[in-house]
Amino acid sequence: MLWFDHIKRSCLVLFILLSVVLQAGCSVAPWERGNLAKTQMLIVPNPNRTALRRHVFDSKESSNGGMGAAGGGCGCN
Amino acid sequence: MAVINKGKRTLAALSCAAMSLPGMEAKAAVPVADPESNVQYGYYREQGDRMQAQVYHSDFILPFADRVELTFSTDFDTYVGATPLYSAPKEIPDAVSAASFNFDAAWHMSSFLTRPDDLSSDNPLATDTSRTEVKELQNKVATEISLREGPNYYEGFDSAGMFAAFIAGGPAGALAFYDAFIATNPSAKSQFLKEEKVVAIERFLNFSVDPLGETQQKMAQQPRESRTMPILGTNLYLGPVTLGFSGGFSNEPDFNSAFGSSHLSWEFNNKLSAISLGYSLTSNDITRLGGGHSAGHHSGFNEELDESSTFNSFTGGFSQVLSKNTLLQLNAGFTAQRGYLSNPYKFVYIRGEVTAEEYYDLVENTAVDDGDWAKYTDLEVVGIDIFREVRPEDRDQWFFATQLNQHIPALDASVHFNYRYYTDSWKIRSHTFELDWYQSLPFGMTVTPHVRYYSQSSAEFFGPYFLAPREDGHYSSDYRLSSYGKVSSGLSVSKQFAKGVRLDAGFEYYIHKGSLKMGGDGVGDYADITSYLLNASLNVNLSSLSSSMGDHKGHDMHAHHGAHPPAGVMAGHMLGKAGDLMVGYQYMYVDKAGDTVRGAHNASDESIVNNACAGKTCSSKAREMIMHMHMFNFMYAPTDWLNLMLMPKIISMEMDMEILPGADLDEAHEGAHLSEGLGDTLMMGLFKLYDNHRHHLHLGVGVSAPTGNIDATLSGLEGTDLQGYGMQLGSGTWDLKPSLTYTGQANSWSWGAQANATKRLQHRNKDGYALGDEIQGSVWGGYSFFPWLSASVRGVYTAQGSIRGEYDGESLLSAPTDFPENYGGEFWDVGIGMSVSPSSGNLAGNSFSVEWLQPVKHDYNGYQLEQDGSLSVRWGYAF
Repeated sequence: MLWFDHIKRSCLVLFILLSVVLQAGCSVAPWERGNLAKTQMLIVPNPNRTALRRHVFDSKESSNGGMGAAGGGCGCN
Repeated sequence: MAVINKGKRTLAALSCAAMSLPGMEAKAAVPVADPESNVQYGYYREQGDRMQAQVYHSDFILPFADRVELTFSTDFDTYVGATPLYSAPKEIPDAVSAASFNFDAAWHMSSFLTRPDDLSSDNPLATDTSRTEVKELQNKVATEISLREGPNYYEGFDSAGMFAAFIAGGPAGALAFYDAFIATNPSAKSQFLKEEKVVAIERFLNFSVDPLGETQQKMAQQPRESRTMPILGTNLYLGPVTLGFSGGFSNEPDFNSAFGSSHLSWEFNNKLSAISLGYSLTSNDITRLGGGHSAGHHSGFNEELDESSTFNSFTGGFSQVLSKNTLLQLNAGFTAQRGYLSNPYKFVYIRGEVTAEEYYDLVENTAVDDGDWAKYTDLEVVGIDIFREVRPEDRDQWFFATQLNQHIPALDASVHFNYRYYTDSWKIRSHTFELDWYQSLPFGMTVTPHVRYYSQSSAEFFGPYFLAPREDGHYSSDYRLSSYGKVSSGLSVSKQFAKGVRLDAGFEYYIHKGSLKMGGDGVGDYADITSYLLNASLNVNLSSLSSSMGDHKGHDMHAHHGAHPPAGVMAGHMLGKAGDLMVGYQYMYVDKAGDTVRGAHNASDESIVNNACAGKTCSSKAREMIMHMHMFNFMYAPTDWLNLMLMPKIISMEMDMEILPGADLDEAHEGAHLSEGLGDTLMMGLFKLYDNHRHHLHLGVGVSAPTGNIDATLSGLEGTDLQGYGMQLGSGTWDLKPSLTYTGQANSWSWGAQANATKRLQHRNKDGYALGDEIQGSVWGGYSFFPWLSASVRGVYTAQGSIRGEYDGESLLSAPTDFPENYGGEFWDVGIGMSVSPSSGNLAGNSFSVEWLQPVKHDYNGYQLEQDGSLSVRWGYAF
């Protein structure tokens, strides 16, 4: 089954990455996180703009997911 | 916290501060301390006369309890423009394409197959060019067959008689006999009529296909439509775990969607790592009345539709701090879409789905209605060889995405790299790459250039057109399912002001091309298109504000402003101190229903028919009109004697028409007409003239900019008949709006009065008319039952002139609302209102008021629909 293969593969990839990054990240002390706390370092620095662009991409492209922000409807032609 | 020495204390304090800073999620894992609000405007436009959309967004985040915040957002979109309907290997003559809103395929086919000679010259089809081509084609086939068959061509031909004539008079005798038969039997039918017609159809269909020709895209104009989407949500902060829930719905004329989602994130490993899980459920109803795209004036074209679909969506994510300047996020998701997934407005061109013989059979078996097609095809026929698209009823979608954020301390910049791989059970695969550079600049500015590349392969059932039927019965020519690539790049600029106010603006340009597909095997260039997106947003973060203003928050700021005037009074309140800001929202609802009134008395239908349409006979009248107006209010006090106010608004109106007895049905229109979008924008200065805490007097000088559309048409299609004046979203002129307001208070009592006016600054707007000028006076009194709760009574007098000039564009001129003299009048109303404005606690700074305005005596100019009353609701937050 196609989707089962996808799950298996993605779990494996995730597991490997997880173990690598968990080790890598241990060294950052709380007081060293000033840069990480900046707005520009957020995963989504401007949620409204992201939601607007997502709406455009969702209605003009055939892929979706992975860009945050919830919503429904079409709003397209 | 145990403290051992001074050095460690500092370290501990810093650690605590850092721990409470926003972590890896889009939002800090702490609830907001004060309300936060965003408004955004977006404009999307495709090249030429293709789609253009305007998107208005607003949201609020409110702290509710220590660990809980509430979120609310609304989106309002309007969109209009041409959209591709289908594509074909050759431009098909208009009469046989479904682009006509009056298309009836069966009727067309049967009319083509009527013997040309049987068509009388006064039939409108006789002059139809594409029909002429078919007529010629059929004549040619008839000639060919009659040459081939000779005397056998005609039914009932006396072959034996012709033979006798040949014996007696030779070839000349036979020819004379033949000519005499034709002359005496003008209606003699060919014995080969079936063959003649089938061959003609076959040739006609072949004529429509040119496999070597360039693919042509057939467009259709879409009427203006709008979508409203409110979403409510809550976030619960439970230490390392954050739970979020949200739900909402999206309403369009033909697509209603309800959705709910839940989200969990868990920070661990000293907040260096986080896992998130999400689930969302979306339920869609796709409905359509038979007829045009939305309720309206087109017949044929669309069958009634009532379908639904359900999406279940699961996402999982992991994010990890890799170093003090690096953050990585991995995401994966699965969505199962089930149900009706087709686009009901997209067609496909399929050769051979209905054969020439079947077309012939259909026509010969007379009773031509939609049902008959079912004998030949499972698809919905919308034109000759043109069908409504059909997509599979299930679709499984997968995506894997990763984002890497790298901060560059030397430049105070951050780079975001994003990649997404997508695949689904329709065999679409896509790759998306995005690079954003966030560059901090002095004065709170951030500039972000970004580039994006997207490439997808096509759905397995996609084709620009189909020269043979597909076995699985799935077809789509929607260019969004084709294989193509898209490159975009843009720039956004952000400026952080003091007081937690941020402005953002951005621009992005898109190039969609078949040839940009990764690997190069994209679809042809017929669907290439460019587009752009503009956006501007304002973010007001009151958390920053309260920290910058120290203990300012919660002080008794309203005592010296005077009590709030009733909700329906515009510009009746000033901010008290230099530097104060206010954001507000006001909603107004107006309902006009029931009788049409002339002056102050009900008018009979007979009187309307004969007198309300300026000498013409009225054929329709309005039965009900409902208006919803959403006004957004921003106020700022640069000094303590001046307030600046900006008020954009969004209006949504619906008018229900009915046909008057004895009406001329060609002109009459009935049913619901809609008009929605941005209204006129008010800019105003308020000048304090006098204030001794008990008595307050201010002057308002406002200008209303004509940002509202005044081209709303009955069908929603541009360039067709205009709706009545009252259904337009703006005045179309620059207007002056002066006002003088007095307020007073003593103990629990408050009172006030306002005089205001609207003066049109232009003689005519671009459509040839100007709305009437207006003056209004109102007087009110109020009593506070508690310091935070008061009630008010208000008397209002309004005088409004009738419209000057008249439409110089197309208008049906068939209902009282189409005539300038049926506007304006003198109105006396009484308002009853309530106001809540807590001066302390979590909600301090908020004011909330509501007022119902009840007509007492209305004296209308001409013939107008009687007003039932209006409701105003106002919320404001001053800080």
